[in-house]
Amino acid sequence: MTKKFSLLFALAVLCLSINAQTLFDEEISIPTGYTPEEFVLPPSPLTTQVLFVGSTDLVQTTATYGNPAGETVAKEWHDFIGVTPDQTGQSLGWVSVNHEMIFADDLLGDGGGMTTFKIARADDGSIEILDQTLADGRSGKFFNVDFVNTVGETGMNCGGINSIVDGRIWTAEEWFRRDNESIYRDGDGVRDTSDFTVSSDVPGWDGVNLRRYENFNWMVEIDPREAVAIRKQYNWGRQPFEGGVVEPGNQIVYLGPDATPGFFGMFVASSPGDFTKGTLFAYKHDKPGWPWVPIWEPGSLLNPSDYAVQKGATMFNRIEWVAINPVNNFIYFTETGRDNPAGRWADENAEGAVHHPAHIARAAAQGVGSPNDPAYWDYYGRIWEYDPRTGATRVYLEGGPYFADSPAEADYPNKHLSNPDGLNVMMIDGKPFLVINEDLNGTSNGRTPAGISNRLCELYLLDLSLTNPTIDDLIRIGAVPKGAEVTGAVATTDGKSLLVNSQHPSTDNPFPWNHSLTLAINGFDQVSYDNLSDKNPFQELSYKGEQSDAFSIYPNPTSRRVFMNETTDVALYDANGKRILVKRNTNELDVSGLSKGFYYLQNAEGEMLKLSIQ
Amino acid sequence: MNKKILTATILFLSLFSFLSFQENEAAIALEEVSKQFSDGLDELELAVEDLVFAAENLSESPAAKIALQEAIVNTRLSYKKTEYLTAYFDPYNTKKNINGAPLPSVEPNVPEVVVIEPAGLQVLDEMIFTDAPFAEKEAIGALAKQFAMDFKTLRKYQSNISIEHRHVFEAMRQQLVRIFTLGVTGFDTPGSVKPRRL
Repeated sequence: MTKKFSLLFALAVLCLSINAQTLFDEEISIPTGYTPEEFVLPPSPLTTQVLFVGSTDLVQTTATYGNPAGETVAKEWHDFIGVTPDQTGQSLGWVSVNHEMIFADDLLGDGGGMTTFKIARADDGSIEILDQTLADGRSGKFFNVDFVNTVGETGMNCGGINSIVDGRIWTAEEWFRRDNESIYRDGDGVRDTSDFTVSSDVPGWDGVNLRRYENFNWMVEIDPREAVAIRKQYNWGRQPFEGGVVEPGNQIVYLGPDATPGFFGMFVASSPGDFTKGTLFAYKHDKPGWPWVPIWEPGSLLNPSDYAVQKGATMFNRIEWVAINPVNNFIYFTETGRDNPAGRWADENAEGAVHHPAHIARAAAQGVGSPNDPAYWDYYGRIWEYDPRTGATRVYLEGGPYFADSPAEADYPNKHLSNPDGLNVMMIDGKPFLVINEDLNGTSNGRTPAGISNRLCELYLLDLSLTNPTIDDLIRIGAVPKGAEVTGAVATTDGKSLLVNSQHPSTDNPFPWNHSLTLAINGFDQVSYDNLSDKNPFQELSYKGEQSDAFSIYPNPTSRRVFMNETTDVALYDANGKRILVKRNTNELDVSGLSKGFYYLQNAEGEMLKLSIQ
Repeated sequence: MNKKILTATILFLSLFSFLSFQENEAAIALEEVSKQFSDGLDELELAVEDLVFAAENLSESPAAKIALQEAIVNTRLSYKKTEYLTAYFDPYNTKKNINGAPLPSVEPNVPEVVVIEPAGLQVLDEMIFTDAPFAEKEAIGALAKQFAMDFKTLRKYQSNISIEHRHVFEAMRQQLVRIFTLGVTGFDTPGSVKPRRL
């Protein structure tokens, strides 16, 4: 009987394989004597831990707007994460988390904000949040950074700067404000719109009277240990700041303003470590010699980009975060892109600002005259590299891939980089990797597959030892819940954890994923350089020689993906033979969401494999 | 051979051939949908060409006005045959360029407020179904040309998507909602059929 059953089974398989689009049975039972080949997915070296949840965790507040010090739930929209090392070695240091919003709050202060907390490494490898008592008497785990009583409210605290020299932290106020209405937001935002008198140690700024909105859009230094703001960096100009880095000499700060045009900026301090005095520059690729032009002029700092235009600086299409490779001090920055930027920078181009040759070449490749042509598109953005020795910039990794036609099934890309935003460098196994956070500007043009309207944002690693990386070199290490943007990713000082923010998720997600939150991916000390590949090994030449025609898979324990040796329709069945997933025209399967146990994987030809997830 | 086994075998075989028949039927249906979609896009392309022609030749004569009104109606009706899939495959561009509301919108996910002027069938419908569309000839012509270009881009990409059963089911379900909220109520024909309450 068994023999005949097998025969029938084979017949059935034959029938099922007639058509291109397989209909997989809802349930299967494995015939007696039929033993599918078993593949094992070892446990991941990485584990996830939720640290800090918006609207849930209680933060300690200072006396604000006449209210006494107290505690209240944290703001949402977590963005930048700063890590400040504890030089005493008693803890891992202080974590600072931005809240990218403008929202009225009697205790936390109006506008955006920041929360800080102190962390230590627990014995089991996880992260422990420590109790603290600050100099101002506040005690607890999470602390609201006091802006209101120090430098004035902040807004849209987006990216920031985490100095690699000493862990100094600046928060960036993005989303450029042009009037008081936009910060007041009908009383839901910054409620006090009276003029603001600056109190500052930046020469020439103490006592200056600003309209309230003009006190926004600065880089703002904070003290994460005491959860207070130190100064608004009035001498770095008022810009839609997103990110920046301090170079190891502690004298130069590179700055990324998020605008079209965005001007890659540099502040050079008069003396190392003292950023209250110095000169502001904008990058100009075509300037002979040192490609930087000073954009400081008395009174110019309220809108330095006007001066950058006049000085003919190089225009970028929305600069986001800036990162530094500690091995060679090369600077990387994300240009997140904007679908059709023409209307945003054609006027500035006419007034003197210049296009980078890379954008001019892209325009030519698209068959349009220039980046000023309304048809010029920049759907995916890219990552730039700046060489501090020569001042040269080049595209390090172009986003995409772009297809004018939907590609044939066999050519479907396994990875797609869309609108890179957050950027950091992390050392893994002694080697530098870029940590790239996506923030999709849309779902069109291949940013999400046809029929998928969720802007799924993914987190990638990229080996910085690669001179000319491609999309295929990206190592996908995570994706955030529905509706969320992944951002802030930064390594802890011991290199064992990556802290990540999931920002503005859909409220449909189960708790705590329905809130903005900070999570830790622990276990990077267990990851080696060699096993950190996320490519389909069957596409590698060395593998191809050995491979047979039979259906075969390679489960990657770190990326939690199962790679297949063919592009096919597959169905995944649980241990009871119940169908739980069907995916079509694919050669990989993300199994990160599956619990431990046995599964069966069937391809379009009916060939079946057993997958053991550990 | 044991009689019981023989019966079982025949039973099994007929079951499998039935399943296989079902399978074929599903595949044929899918092929048909793909062909309909492709034909629909072809038809729409011709309608769009007529629309651009009628817009360019718009004059003060009543005949030219009627020709243009007929052209926009034809374009919309052709679009409706493919809408369930085009809107499903690319809701973002469909809304932005093809059949979005005739209202200014804000560019999504950028760090400032940038107003995008509406484009597509709805804004054309509103401009063409007036007493004197000739007064706006230039704007109508520009929008029609832009629509032709945007549709060309969409068609180029979408005509090569290999359609799956899942796509068809999900797209149809969404289209049911669209038929009632946009179509029957007249919401996506602000000029030719004014929005009305059901």
